[in-house]
Amino acid sequence: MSQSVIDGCRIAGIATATPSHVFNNTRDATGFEKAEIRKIVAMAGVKQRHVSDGSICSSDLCLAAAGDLLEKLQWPRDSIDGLILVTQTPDYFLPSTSCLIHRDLKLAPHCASFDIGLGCSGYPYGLWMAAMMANNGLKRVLLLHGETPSVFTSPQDRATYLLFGDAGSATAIEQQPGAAPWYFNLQTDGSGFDDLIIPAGGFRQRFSDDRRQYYLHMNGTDLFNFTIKRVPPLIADTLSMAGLAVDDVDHFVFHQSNQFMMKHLAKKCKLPAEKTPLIIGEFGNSGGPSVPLTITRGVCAEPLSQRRKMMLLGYGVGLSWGAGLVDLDPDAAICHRELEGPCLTPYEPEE
Amino acid sequence: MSIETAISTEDALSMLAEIFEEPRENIAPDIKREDIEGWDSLGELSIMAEFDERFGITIDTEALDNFAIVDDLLQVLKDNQALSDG
Repeated sequence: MSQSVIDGCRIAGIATATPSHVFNNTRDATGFEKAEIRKIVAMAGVKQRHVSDGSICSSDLCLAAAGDLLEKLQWPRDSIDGLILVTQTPDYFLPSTSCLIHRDLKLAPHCASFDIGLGCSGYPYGLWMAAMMANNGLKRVLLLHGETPSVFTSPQDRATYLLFGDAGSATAIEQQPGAAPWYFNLQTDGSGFDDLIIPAGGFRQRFSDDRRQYYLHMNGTDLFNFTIKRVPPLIADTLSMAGLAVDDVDHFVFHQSNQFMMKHLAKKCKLPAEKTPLIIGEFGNSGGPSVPLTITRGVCAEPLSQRRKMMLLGYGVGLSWGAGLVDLDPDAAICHRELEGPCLTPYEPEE
Repeated sequence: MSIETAISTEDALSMLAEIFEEPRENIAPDIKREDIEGWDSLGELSIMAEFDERFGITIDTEALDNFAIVDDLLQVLKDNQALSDG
């Protein structure tokens, strides 16, 4: 089992960004019957979603969040030694989108930058990687996690179209000798790789005559069984690693998959509702970045008065799942903004 | 399966009627899936959640895809000793 304990790191701040455009599922959705929409909205809990019009990419959302965070922290650009971008919606197959963000953030050449291709489970994985790096000589690391799943869902697919919103995030991690240990538990079951898949557009099938192959395919019932099989033991094992009980953790921050699923999980794991913030009603499921978004918009909706212990839970596409048990100090910089349009410097090919 | 959680066939049919949002009299063992409007993908998820929560039963999704009548769902309860009169 992939369990890991990391000492001596802190979260200096978390910033998030969502597109300013709001899609109200009840008001704006066409092509489905009203009763059908009401049923889906009631079950998934998604009243509205902040969605890209197609021009805003994950890179834009992450760049905006990172810019805000660095401004707030007053971190000199050359003090950042590592930049990680976790995304499955990159700008290009190559180069890594982290390199484009590195350019626009004006980071130094000594800053290691790379992408990680994970989705729903991406935040605990990314945080683990960032904390490992900070613990191995890279003093300050920026973890970016962004997705625009609304762009890859088919308007004809009622199972996915009303569910997804878009979001980007930036989390600043730095060494802090003596800080309390963080616990990570990261796992995979590749046999369910096709439970969430975009079949075409990658190198296995670059082009397809069938447009549907470029959209997300989701197997909802298999995902349900995956989640109830994997997430409760993930929570229990991570608590046990740290020698803690549910009462010792202030917040269980779930990837905002869908309200029905999260409520079922919380009930199954006997987690009190006040410890499991839900923001899916306002933002939809924005993939893995829904975890930091739930921190900025849920956990930190009111400024923190004391240190909070959070279990961060990601689960889904891969199939991949993971938990990170970390602390958030009241002095951490927290901010959120809405983005009107793209902000990354565009690529203009030479004639 | 603990014996306390087992329910009667009558109660199971009432439970399914509630999940499918159908009048109780419309739900009987021989009623076909296609004749139940609420037996769609959302209805399936509700059944999976209810079976998990009340009986600790995980429904095999391949089997679920092939279910044709209400009795197929009752059979899952029966196979898991969740029907007291089954």
